[in-house]
Amino acid sequence: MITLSKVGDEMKKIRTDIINLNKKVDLPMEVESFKGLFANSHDCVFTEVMINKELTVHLVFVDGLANCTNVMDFILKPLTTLEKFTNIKDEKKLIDVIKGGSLYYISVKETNDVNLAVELLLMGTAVLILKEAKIAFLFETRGFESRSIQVPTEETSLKGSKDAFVETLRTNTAMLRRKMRTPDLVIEELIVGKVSKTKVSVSYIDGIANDQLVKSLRERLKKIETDQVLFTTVIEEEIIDSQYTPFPQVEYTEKPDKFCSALLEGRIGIIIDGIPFTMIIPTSIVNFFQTTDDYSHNYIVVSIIRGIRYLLAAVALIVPAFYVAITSFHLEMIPEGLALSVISTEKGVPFPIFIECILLSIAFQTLIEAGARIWSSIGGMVSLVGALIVGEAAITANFISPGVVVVVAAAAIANYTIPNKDFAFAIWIWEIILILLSSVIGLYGMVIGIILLIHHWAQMEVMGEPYLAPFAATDGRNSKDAIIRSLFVFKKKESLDEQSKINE
Amino acid sequence: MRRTLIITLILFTLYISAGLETMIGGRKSITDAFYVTTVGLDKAKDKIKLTIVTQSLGPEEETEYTKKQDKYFVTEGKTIFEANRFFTTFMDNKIFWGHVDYILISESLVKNGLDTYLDFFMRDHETRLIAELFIVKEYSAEESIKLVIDSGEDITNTLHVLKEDVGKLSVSGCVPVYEAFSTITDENCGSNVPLLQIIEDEKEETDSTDAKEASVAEDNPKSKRLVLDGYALLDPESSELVGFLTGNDARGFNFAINKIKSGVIVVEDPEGEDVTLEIIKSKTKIIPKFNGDKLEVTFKTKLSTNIAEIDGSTNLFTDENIELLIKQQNEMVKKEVKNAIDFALKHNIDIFPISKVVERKFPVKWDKIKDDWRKIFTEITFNVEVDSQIDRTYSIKEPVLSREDG
Amino acid sequence: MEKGKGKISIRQVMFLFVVTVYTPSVRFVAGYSAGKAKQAAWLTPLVTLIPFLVLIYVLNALLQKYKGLSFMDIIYDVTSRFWGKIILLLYLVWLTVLLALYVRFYAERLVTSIYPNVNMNLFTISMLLIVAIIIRAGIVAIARMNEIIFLIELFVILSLFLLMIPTIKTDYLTPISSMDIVPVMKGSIGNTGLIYITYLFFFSDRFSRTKEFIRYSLYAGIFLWLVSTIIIITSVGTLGHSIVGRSPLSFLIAVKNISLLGVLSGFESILVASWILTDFILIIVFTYSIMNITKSLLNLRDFKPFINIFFVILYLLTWILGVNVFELQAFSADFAIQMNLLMQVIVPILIFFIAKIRKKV
Repeated sequence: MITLSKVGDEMKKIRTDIINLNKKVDLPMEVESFKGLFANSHDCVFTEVMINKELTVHLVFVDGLANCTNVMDFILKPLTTLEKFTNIKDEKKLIDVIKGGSLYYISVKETNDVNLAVELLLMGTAVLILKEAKIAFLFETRGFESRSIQVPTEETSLKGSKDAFVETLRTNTAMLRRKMRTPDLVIEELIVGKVSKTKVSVSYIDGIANDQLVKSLRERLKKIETDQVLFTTVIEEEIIDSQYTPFPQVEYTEKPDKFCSALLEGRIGIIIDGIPFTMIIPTSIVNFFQTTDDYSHNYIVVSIIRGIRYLLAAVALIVPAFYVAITSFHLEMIPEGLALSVISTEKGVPFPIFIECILLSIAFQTLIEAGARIWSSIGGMVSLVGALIVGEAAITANFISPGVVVVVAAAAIANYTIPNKDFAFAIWIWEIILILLSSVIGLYGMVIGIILLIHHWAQMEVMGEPYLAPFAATDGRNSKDAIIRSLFVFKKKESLDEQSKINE
Repeated sequence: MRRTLIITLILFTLYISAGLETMIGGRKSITDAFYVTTVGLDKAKDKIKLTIVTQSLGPEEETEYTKKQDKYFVTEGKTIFEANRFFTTFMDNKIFWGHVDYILISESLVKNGLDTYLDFFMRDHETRLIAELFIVKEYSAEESIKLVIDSGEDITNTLHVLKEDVGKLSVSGCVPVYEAFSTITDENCGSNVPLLQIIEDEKEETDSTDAKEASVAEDNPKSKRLVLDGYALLDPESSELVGFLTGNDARGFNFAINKIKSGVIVVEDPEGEDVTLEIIKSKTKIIPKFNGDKLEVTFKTKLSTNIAEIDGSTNLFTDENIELLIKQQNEMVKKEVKNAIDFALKHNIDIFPISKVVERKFPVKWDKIKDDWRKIFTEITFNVEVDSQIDRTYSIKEPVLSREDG
Repeated sequence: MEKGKGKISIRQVMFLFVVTVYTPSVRFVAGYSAGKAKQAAWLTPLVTLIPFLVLIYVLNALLQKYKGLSFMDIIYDVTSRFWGKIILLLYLVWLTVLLALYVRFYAERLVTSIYPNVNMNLFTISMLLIVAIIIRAGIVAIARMNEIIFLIELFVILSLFLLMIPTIKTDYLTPISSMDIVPVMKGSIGNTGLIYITYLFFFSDRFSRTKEFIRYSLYAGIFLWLVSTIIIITSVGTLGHSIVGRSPLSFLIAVKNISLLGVLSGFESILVASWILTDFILIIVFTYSIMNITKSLLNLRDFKPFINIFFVILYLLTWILGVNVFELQAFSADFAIQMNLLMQVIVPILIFFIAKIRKKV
């Protein structure tokens, strides 16, 4: 018998081959092959099952992935106790008996391909190897620990459903099915990642989603060459068109209801196994200003709130730069009273206003970062220190003038109201750029910055859909849900009409 | 990516060059700015004397900066712009003209015409055209500014309050720069500019009712006050100062040009006691009519007043008594308007301006007569019609002094 | 969406048209028409609608006949290759001069309004650089940018108009009588010279959904009529025609008069800032037209290598055009308007008639 370590050495080479080239290994279907592949892994269980004195089979499964009770109750126990099996003398007979359904298990597969067996083994399958026939039976014994469905942590909603996606793909797809009982809901699955072999599911509604779009997404996903899909960006960065942008092009959600309503709009959802956040594409700028709550409140109220959200985003983007511009270039725009009080507070502060703005803006971002990274046990310190430094000490020490604090804080608070945090961060970056530009030449610089920003948005496309839609490029289509949320009746009518137009 | 790089590079270059103040001279930090809120223009031999004042903050803001507020600055120059540049020789702040609210011009300066001095305020990119013009009678603009500042008040605030309350008596008005410019450029109509007067309070003249003012008067026996009263009227062609309309004549002018907001008319009841009427509403229509070639102009004023104070004891709320009051009221308004008309005829300037009304009503005819307008104007027959009514009184109906008869 | 790749819809074209016309008209129309038509200036845009409708009819006939072709190809087909090249050369020269004029005006406008101490080169060079970068993104991106810029501009102008309503005096806008007919006609030439729709046809091969041309151009015409009337009414109505006729930037002065609640003022900076956006669109659209003409004249496949050289020439041209702003204004009012009238109203109509005679339409 070969020693395990020796096998290990040989197998290591093969293993590398698998990873690097995604090559199929050419190994005989016997337990030694598995032992070689999993030489150093202690969670891989190899059991020798003696059915009777003449007949021995090997059972391989991964502890933790496969459900041990199932393995014992439905495979080991019948094999060793049922007379049907204990009386069998040779393997040929055994195969017939198993195929005949005597091992009563729902999902049984027969194979002689080691690759397939290994792949499924790592998904929780138990592999029953018959030595002489060189074939294996695969039993779907998957059963690992997973988080139960909980309330969404990031996207809270007042009236919407309170379930959230979890890490397990199957649970997630089941949630979708529960919400939309139609065969038109297609859930395709692909395996991405050479090492991690992660399941990625693409869901859409047949007949509503654009076929071209689905096709191109499928192709893009297939082309991905990566080792792992443990993070969402691995997929995201491969499927988007414009890489050089801080703006998000994929919408993330942990709420199945949002996911489903996106599918109904003709968009496509991607669920990655192991990540409780799902992706929705294509997106446009409006998607980052909508929340699921928008659809569970009165439409007039929501329309106003949504309008305010856009306004606040503009405030977050422009106001600090505008303040810098009017205090250093366009003094006529400040009302006299305000100007005089700005002068009196600004006296004694050593920095120019734009430096104060940038410093303070970075300080706010620092607080956010600190709040996110700090251990929860001392988390309270951030707000305490932050409030002390930013609020009081900086002003009394004449580091920063109160006017700047008001302006930058207003912009920061406005920034936090943007529902999508990725978008909010991108807006913050542009806020800094605009401050820099307007510190150079006032409103002119600011407007140049805005031109560049609009250009940046205008040339962006997500899966061929313009990023600025429906404000631009759609000839006014779909604009009824952009700023104003019209009544559902009108919305539905339009979307169906328009969809048929697109599909023409 | 290359494009992004190029853009970043350009931005960075731009940004670095921002440090070079020589290239971008537009930056003016707010902390260095001197906000001019009130300007005074005076004549100094053949030069122009320019006085600038900034608005002070409230008394609670006693910082180093605000202490300087009380100061005003004066320079002289051949033109306003030159005088303005002379400020830079001794001031440590950059003068900023974007918030000029009031422009005071001395009488002596306007004698040679106003148009030359308005040009700066029209042309300069910083000044606002809504700044308001005042002409200071007798005194110089500098003196009037000094007067207010020395008394511890803020000149801009004072003017602001005066302007706000101008409608209470309706003896003056507001004329922003652009409006003045627009009438000055019209060769047929005279322009009017509100008049600021400095009134000396004589010690003995103060009434005992004005206890507070009396005490002030005791401190400085000849205390002076800035008063917004009347109009200075300018010649249509040369924009030279022609004369003043003050007090009730100015109100008559306001009646004619439909600028009455409120006001007080004091009439007498049958027993000769004073009855005070408050003007609530007034509307005047100027109706031109051609009798052949002769122009006839009618001022039709509709007026309503309230009884605000009754000093006598007669019950006024009878038909004939009210009628009596109305009659007196009509006469008074008529007289005031007539005074304004007389003034216009005397100096031969169309201050109302009737030319505009004629132009609007008879555009074709106007085209023919517009060149001789000044001659035609003197030949116009003027009628004044006043139609007034007394609407109501306030909380009590009968006079306080009336005794119950039975 | 896949069908129209690289193309812009007629709606987007009309947005481009509206913004390119708005840009010069805000500077030019009120002053010009107030100078000629006095208090009746606000009627001039109404008269302009007539030549506009004729032009629309002609262009629509050409567009429907020559589907998917650019104006250059139409000219080649209607006249001949030789004459077509000559006409296009004229267009090329004129458009380049006009563009240089606008670049210069754009910088002058900034310098005279809110940046008096700043070197004009800064504005010219930075704008040309940005245009040179962005034009490579193609007309689709430009059209999309324009839609957003249009919204911003609309918001700015409407809110300014609302703020100015209390300052408008009807005295300045009346009386209107039969005597005003001739001055109004004269004043409307200024507006007519600004119908820049012909220049957009140099990339008409990029238009999609051309069937809606008449409908959308009518919308655009009515919109422009409203906007220019608003501009004239607010400028003349607040200041009187005597000031407006004398001022190069009358709308700006009218805006200077706004004082909201007696506290907020200085809105002219916002107006000027918003003009930068529209100036940018005007410059980039004209450049795109010029590039397309050049491409066709020299039989190039792509105009991108030519861009940099063109901008150097353009920059030099902005300085050659006039020593000071007075020469520029004289050039604009005395020559540019008439030339524009010829190039964008009369030439297309002539081409239409030639096509009619040759039975091509």
